[in-house]
Amino acid sequence: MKSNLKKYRSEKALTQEELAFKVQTSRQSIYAIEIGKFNPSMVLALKIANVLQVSVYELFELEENDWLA
Amino acid sequence: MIFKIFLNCKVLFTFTKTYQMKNMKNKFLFDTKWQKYALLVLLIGIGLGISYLNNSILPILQKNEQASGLGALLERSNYQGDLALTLMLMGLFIIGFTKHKQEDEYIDFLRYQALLKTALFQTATIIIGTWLFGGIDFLNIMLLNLFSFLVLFILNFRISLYLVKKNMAK
Repeated sequence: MKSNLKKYRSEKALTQEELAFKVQTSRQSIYAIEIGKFNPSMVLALKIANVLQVSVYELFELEENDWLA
Repeated sequence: MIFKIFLNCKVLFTFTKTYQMKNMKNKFLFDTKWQKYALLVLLIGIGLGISYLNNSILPILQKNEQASGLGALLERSNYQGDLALTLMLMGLFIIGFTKHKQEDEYIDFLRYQALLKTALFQTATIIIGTWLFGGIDFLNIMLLNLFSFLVLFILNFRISLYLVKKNMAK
Protein backbone atom coordinates (compact mmCIF):
# COMPACT_ATOMS: atom_id res chain seq x y z
CA MET A 1 0.00 0.00 0.00
CA LYS A 2 1.37 3.37 -0.97
CA SER A 3 1.04 6.08 1.63
CA ASN A 4 0.66 9.74 0.68
CA LEU A 5 0.47 10.79 4.30
CA LYS A 6 3.71 12.78 4.30
CA LYS A 7 2.55 14.84 1.29
CA TYR A 8 -0.84 15.74 2.79
CA ARG A 9 0.62 16.33 6.24
CA SER A 10 3.16 18.76 4.79
CA GLU A 11 0.37 20.53 2.86
CA LYS A 12 -1.46 21.11 6.14
CA ALA A 13 1.83 22.21 7.76
CA LEU A 14 1.50 19.70 10.55
CA THR A 15 4.39 17.99 12.27
CA GLN A 16 4.29 14.25 12.98
CA GLU A 17 3.88 15.07 16.65
CA GLU A 18 0.92 17.39 16.03
CA LEU A 19 -0.84 14.92 13.77
CA ALA A 20 -0.22 12.12 16.25
CA PHE A 21 -1.76 14.23 19.02
CA LYS A 22 -4.83 15.05 16.90
CA VAL A 23 -5.55 11.42 16.05
CA GLN A 24 -4.62 10.17 19.54
CA THR A 25 -1.76 7.97 18.48
CA SER A 26 2.03 7.95 18.87
CA ARG A 27 4.56 9.74 16.69
CA GLN A 28 6.12 6.35 16.00
CA SER A 29 2.86 5.24 14.31
CA ILE A 30 2.75 8.28 12.04
CA TYR A 31 6.40 7.77 11.11
CA ALA A 32 5.86 4.05 10.41
CA ILE A 33 2.80 4.78 8.24
CA GLU A 34 4.68 7.44 6.29
CA ILE A 35 7.58 5.17 5.41
CA GLY A 36 5.20 2.31 4.57
CA LYS A 37 6.32 0.06 7.42
CA PHE A 38 2.89 -0.19 8.96
CA ASN A 39 -0.65 -0.28 7.59
CA PRO A 40 -3.02 1.53 9.94
CA SER A 41 -6.37 0.12 11.02
CA MET A 42 -9.47 1.43 9.32
CA VAL A 43 -10.31 3.57 12.35
CA LEU A 44 -6.90 5.24 12.39
CA ALA A 45 -6.91 5.72 8.61
CA LEU A 46 -10.32 7.41 8.80
CA LYS A 47 -9.21 9.59 11.70
CA ILE A 48 -6.10 10.75 9.80
CA ALA A 49 -8.16 11.39 6.66
CA ASN A 50 -10.61 13.38 8.75
CA VAL A 51 -7.93 15.56 10.31
CA LEU A 52 -6.17 16.16 6.99
CA GLN A 53 -9.54 16.68 5.24
CA VAL A 54 -8.85 14.27 2.40
CA SER A 55 -10.42 10.97 1.49
CA VAL A 56 -8.83 7.68 2.53
CA TYR A 57 -8.40 6.84 -1.16
CA GLU A 58 -6.24 9.92 -1.62
CA LEU A 59 -4.26 9.17 1.50
CA PHE A 60 -3.56 5.53 0.72
CA GLU A 61 -3.29 3.82 -2.64
CA LEU A 62 -3.46 0.13 -3.35
CA GLU A 63 -0.51 -1.26 -5.26
CA GLU A 64 -0.37 -4.18 -7.67
CA ASN A 65 1.14 -6.58 -5.14
CA ASP A 66 -1.64 -5.82 -2.64
CA TRP A 67 -3.95 -7.87 -4.87
CA LEU A 68 -1.69 -10.90 -4.71
CA ALA A 69 -2.47 -13.43 -2.00
CA MET B 1 -31.98 -25.90 23.51
CA ILE B 2 -28.58 -27.08 22.27
CA PHE B 3 -28.44 -24.12 19.93
CA LYS B 4 -29.11 -21.77 22.87
CA ILE B 5 -26.26 -23.34 24.87
CA PHE B 6 -24.01 -22.99 21.84
CA LEU B 7 -24.90 -19.31 21.52
CA ASN B 8 -24.20 -18.72 25.21
CA CYS B 9 -20.84 -20.45 24.90
CA LYS B 10 -20.03 -18.32 21.89
CA VAL B 11 -20.67 -15.18 23.93
CA LEU B 12 -18.63 -16.51 26.86
CA PHE B 13 -15.63 -17.67 24.91
CA THR B 14 -15.16 -14.92 22.38
CA PHE B 15 -13.23 -11.84 23.30
CA THR B 16 -15.49 -9.40 21.51
CA LYS B 17 -16.66 -7.95 24.81
CA THR B 18 -13.18 -7.42 26.22
CA TYR B 19 -10.98 -6.99 23.16
CA GLN B 20 -12.42 -3.85 21.65
CA MET B 21 -10.55 -3.22 18.44
CA LYS B 22 -12.48 -0.02 17.87
CA ASN B 23 -10.63 1.59 20.76
CA MET B 24 -7.32 0.30 19.41
CA LYS B 25 -6.35 -0.69 22.95
CA ASN B 26 -5.43 -4.14 24.08
CA LYS B 27 -7.44 -4.92 27.21
CA PHE B 28 -5.22 -7.82 28.22
CA LEU B 29 -2.24 -5.64 29.04
CA PHE B 30 -1.33 -4.45 32.52
CA ASP B 31 -1.43 -0.77 33.36
CA THR B 32 1.83 1.20 32.94
CA LYS B 33 2.12 1.84 36.70
CA TRP B 34 2.50 -1.91 37.30
CA GLN B 35 5.92 -1.85 35.65
CA LYS B 36 7.83 -0.45 38.64
CA TYR B 37 6.24 -2.96 41.02
CA ALA B 38 7.04 -5.75 38.57
CA LEU B 39 10.66 -4.62 38.48
CA LEU B 40 10.76 -4.75 42.26
CA VAL B 41 9.24 -8.26 42.28
CA LEU B 42 11.78 -9.35 39.66
CA LEU B 43 14.70 -7.96 41.69
CA ILE B 44 13.46 -9.71 44.86
CA GLY B 45 13.13 -12.93 42.85
CA ILE B 46 16.67 -12.58 41.46
CA GLY B 47 18.00 -11.86 44.97
CA LEU B 48 16.26 -14.93 46.40
CA GLY B 49 17.49 -17.02 43.46
CA ILE B 50 21.11 -15.95 43.93
CA SER B 51 20.99 -16.66 47.67
CA TYR B 52 19.36 -20.04 46.91
CA LEU B 53 22.22 -20.93 44.57
CA ASN B 54 24.69 -19.94 47.31
CA ASN B 55 22.84 -22.25 49.72
CA SER B 56 21.81 -19.42 52.06
CA ILE B 57 18.17 -20.21 52.68
CA LEU B 58 15.92 -17.82 54.56
CA PRO B 59 14.69 -19.48 57.79
CA ILE B 60 11.06 -18.64 56.98
CA LEU B 61 11.30 -20.63 53.74
CA GLN B 62 12.85 -23.68 55.38
CA LYS B 63 10.62 -26.76 55.40
CA ASN B 64 9.93 -27.97 58.92
CA GLU B 65 8.88 -31.55 58.34
CA GLN B 66 11.51 -33.54 56.52
CA ALA B 67 10.70 -36.82 54.81
CA SER B 68 12.71 -39.81 55.83
CA GLY B 69 14.19 -42.65 53.80
CA LEU B 70 13.96 -42.66 50.02
CA GLY B 71 11.39 -39.85 50.06
CA ALA B 72 14.01 -37.43 51.44
CA LEU B 73 16.04 -37.77 48.24
CA LEU B 74 13.14 -36.65 46.09
CA GLU B 75 11.52 -34.10 48.35
CA ARG B 76 12.56 -30.46 48.51
CA SER B 77 14.01 -29.17 51.76
CA ASN B 78 12.89 -25.54 51.34
CA TYR B 79 10.66 -23.31 49.26
CA GLN B 80 13.17 -20.59 48.35
CA GLY B 81 13.87 -21.86 44.84
CA ASP B 82 10.14 -22.12 44.07
CA LEU B 83 9.46 -18.65 45.41
CA ALA B 84 12.41 -17.15 43.52
CA LEU B 85 11.29 -18.70 40.24
CA THR B 86 7.66 -17.65 40.77
CA LEU B 87 8.64 -14.05 41.54
CA MET B 88 11.03 -13.86 38.60
CA LEU B 89 8.46 -15.25 36.14
CA MET B 90 5.71 -12.98 37.50
CA GLY B 91 7.98 -9.94 37.29
CA LEU B 92 9.10 -10.73 33.76
CA PHE B 93 5.54 -11.45 32.62
CA ILE B 94 4.22 -8.14 33.94
CA ILE B 95 7.20 -6.21 32.52
CA GLY B 96 6.65 -7.88 29.14
CA PHE B 97 2.91 -7.31 29.01
CA THR B 98 2.56 -3.83 30.45
CA LYS B 99 1.10 -1.04 28.38
CA HIS B 100 3.63 1.27 26.78
CA LYS B 101 3.45 4.95 27.77
CA GLN B 102 2.02 5.72 24.34
CA GLU B 103 0.23 2.46 23.71
CA ASP B 104 -1.38 2.34 20.29
CA GLU B 105 -1.86 -0.08 17.42
CA TYR B 106 1.71 0.30 16.11
CA ILE B 107 3.19 -0.53 19.52
CA ASP B 108 0.76 -3.47 19.62
CA PHE B 109 2.01 -4.52 16.18
CA LEU B 110 5.64 -4.34 17.35
CA ARG B 111 4.76 -6.45 20.40
CA TYR B 112 3.08 -9.03 18.20
CA GLN B 113 6.12 -9.14 15.90
CA ALA B 114 8.43 -9.59 18.89
CA LEU B 115 6.24 -12.45 20.16
CA LEU B 116 6.37 -14.14 16.75
CA LYS B 117 10.14 -13.75 16.44
CA THR B 118 10.65 -15.18 19.93
CA ALA B 119 8.33 -18.13 19.25
CA LEU B 120 10.20 -18.81 16.00
CA PHE B 121 13.57 -18.68 17.75
CA GLN B 122 12.40 -20.95 20.58
CA THR B 123 10.94 -23.52 18.19
CA ALA B 124 14.10 -23.49 16.05
CA THR B 125 16.23 -24.01 19.19
CA ILE B 126 14.15 -27.03 20.22
CA ILE B 127 14.31 -28.55 16.73
CA ILE B 128 18.08 -28.00 16.46
CA GLY B 129 18.55 -29.25 20.04
CA THR B 130 16.58 -32.42 19.26
CA TRP B 131 19.03 -33.33 16.51
CA LEU B 132 22.27 -32.16 18.10
CA PHE B 133 21.88 -33.02 21.78
CA GLY B 134 20.61 -35.90 23.84
CA GLY B 135 20.10 -36.88 27.46
CA ILE B 136 20.84 -34.28 30.11
CA ASP B 137 22.14 -31.73 27.55
CA PHE B 138 18.79 -31.76 25.77
CA LEU B 139 17.01 -31.42 29.09
CA ASN B 140 19.14 -28.34 29.83
CA ILE B 141 18.20 -26.82 26.47
CA MET B 142 14.54 -27.50 27.19
CA LEU B 143 14.84 -25.84 30.59
CA LEU B 144 16.63 -22.83 29.14
CA ASN B 145 13.97 -22.59 26.45
CA LEU B 146 11.19 -22.71 28.99
CA PHE B 147 12.48 -19.84 31.08
CA SER B 148 14.15 -17.69 28.43
CA PHE B 149 10.96 -17.00 26.48
CA LEU B 150 9.93 -13.95 28.48
CA VAL B 151 13.46 -12.53 28.60
CA LEU B 152 13.91 -12.91 24.84
CA PHE B 153 10.48 -11.45 24.15
CA ILE B 154 11.14 -8.39 26.33
CA LEU B 155 14.56 -7.86 24.69
CA ASN B 156 13.07 -8.27 21.21
CA PHE B 157 10.29 -5.78 21.90
CA ARG B 158 12.57 -3.19 23.55
CA ILE B 159 15.12 -3.44 20.73
CA SER B 160 12.43 -2.87 18.07
CA LEU B 161 11.14 0.15 20.01
CA TYR B 162 14.69 1.50 20.31
CA LEU B 163 15.34 1.01 16.59
CA VAL B 164 12.16 2.87 15.65
CA LYS B 165 13.12 5.79 17.90
CA LYS B 166 16.67 5.77 16.52
CA ASN B 167 15.44 5.81 12.90
CA MET B 168 13.00 8.61 13.70
CA ALA B 169 15.80 10.72 15.14
CA LYS B 170 17.80 10.44 11.88
